[in-house]
Amino acid sequence: MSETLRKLSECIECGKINKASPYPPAMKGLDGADELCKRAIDEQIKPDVILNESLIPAMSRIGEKFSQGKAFVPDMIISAKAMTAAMKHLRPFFTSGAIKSKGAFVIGTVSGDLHDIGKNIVSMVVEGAGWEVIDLGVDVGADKFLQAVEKHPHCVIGLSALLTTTMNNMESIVKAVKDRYPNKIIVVGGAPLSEAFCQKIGANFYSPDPQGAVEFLKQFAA
Amino acid sequence: MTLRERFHEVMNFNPQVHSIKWEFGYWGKTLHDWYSAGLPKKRYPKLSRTLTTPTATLYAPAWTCQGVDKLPNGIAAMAGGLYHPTQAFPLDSDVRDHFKMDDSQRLVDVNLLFCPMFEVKIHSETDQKFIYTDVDGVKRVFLKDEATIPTSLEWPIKDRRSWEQLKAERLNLNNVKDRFPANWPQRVVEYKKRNYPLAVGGYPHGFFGTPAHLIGYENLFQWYCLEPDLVHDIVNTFTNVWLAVYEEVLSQVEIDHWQVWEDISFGRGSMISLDMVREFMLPYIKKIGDFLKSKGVKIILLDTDGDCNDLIPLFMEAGVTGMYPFETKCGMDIVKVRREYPQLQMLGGIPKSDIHLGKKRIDEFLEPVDRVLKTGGYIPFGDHFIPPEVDFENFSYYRTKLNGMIDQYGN
Repeated sequence: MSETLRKLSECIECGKINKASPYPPAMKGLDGADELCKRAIDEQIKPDVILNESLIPAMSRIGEKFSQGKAFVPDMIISAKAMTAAMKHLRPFFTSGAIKSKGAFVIGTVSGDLHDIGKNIVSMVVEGAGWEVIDLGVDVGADKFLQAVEKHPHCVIGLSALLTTTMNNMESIVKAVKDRYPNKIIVVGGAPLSEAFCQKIGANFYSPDPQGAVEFLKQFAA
Repeated sequence: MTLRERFHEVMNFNPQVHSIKWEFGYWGKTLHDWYSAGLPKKRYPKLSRTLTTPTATLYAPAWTCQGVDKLPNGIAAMAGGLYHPTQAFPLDSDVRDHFKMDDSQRLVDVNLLFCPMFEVKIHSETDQKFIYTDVDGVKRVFLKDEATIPTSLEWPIKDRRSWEQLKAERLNLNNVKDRFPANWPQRVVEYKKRNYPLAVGGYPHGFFGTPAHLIGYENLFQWYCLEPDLVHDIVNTFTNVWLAVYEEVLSQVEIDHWQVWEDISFGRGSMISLDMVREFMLPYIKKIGDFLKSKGVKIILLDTDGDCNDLIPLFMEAGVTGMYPFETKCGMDIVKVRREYPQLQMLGGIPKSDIHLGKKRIDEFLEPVDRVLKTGGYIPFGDHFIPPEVDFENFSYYRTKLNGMIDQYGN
């Protein structure tokens, strides 16, 4: 791996967003993910190589650490910010088709629930794994999910809920989607959820953390 | 023996005195269902639009936007295990009286956030949504159908510039007496002749809790990394405000305990690393804790939901003497915690969501409660507000059995 890609990977994993960012203290004054991704492109490294050999493995490592309790929510968010800073240089290559996304992931917090931090972290991590994330926001009912599926027929759906009262709304959304698209894959997550609840409502997978969702999605990658 | 005396004896692990009969609280819908199922309705919990301080009446505009006659489904009625007044939650009397439970602990009603308070501003209202700015300066949306606690949309501390302005205008120490409600002298008279435990602090006052409440969780998580000095300044400023207020309170009335609200843990453990807890929280907890202990306030209770196993020793290091509510579905095991921390005061620890599963399950989960009751220093109740899936019949069985269990150990 080139030195630029190695440093870029380290910046993603450590959350070094750009040169001006004071975090982490040990990397103060050094180039961050923003500068290094641009340099990698300037060095003629192929965009899909940058994504698949540097960015995605770095996000995967921080995701694994989070799953193991070795990294915490601030670490995930700051790494995701570094990832976003790098990805802005790669977006034109997605648009041109030079990089193909792994697929579309439609995510939303279910109707009646306005909490978004869990959804946002999952969105960042899944995007960091090379998926196109369509974030429908919060308080999302079945009709919006159905509209999203019409627009992205091969998408995987992610439902998030933080409250015991609103997680029950997931069931009607799962039913509405599965009635029209019986083979649609639906992932669920959120603080009050469990594997038992996932099975009860007919969803396909419950993930207690973002990396679990990423691992599950791999089998559906384009 | 008064409830206040009993509270101290229980918290001091006196085996001659039996524990206290509290619940954390009940959702509004739970109470509605129980009234329909036969709970005598003698004193329906009251809502009020009157604003006193953020401590007592935060969220009141949302809870009362559809009137004051019926409890919103997602409001909580207080039942002793959590203090009153807080968050404009009403106090339950009917469940308490029906099951001969104990009166609630109380919280000193004083402004611990921005002074002067923000004016309540209604931004928009439809049949579905009520969007407003509350007295703490946070803009929130209340969904009328779900009627759960309003969700924050915008926060008053947006960056260093907004913080410096708020600090100068609403967090200076020149107006500590303005933080007390208009009827403070009457409250002092009442507090002095009270028979219930009285606390300072409460929701939303904590060393992670308050910054998260006023900055937004996602923003705070980034600021821990990108703006650590700013976070320290915020926590330090509130610490000094609270010290000044508590000094004033203690000059007039004796306090029984300090309630610290954090909610820093979730199903996977602490949201922030233990190093961050050590750096951004512990010195400030210790500062106030040491002051209160010097004034004879020796009980410090910290509220954090979720899996707090890794946090217990850290908070004890800072002087915290007890914790709650020990959410069982997040892996909190009161027997294991008692074994590891024999002197930690514990409250909660009962799987509230299992009460509806019936007598066999109730008997099962009360067995460890019995074991920990024997050791003292424990007030058992559901590990958060009792949800609507708990029917009155099963709650009756559970509560009656638990009361009997409590009565077995001591006078």
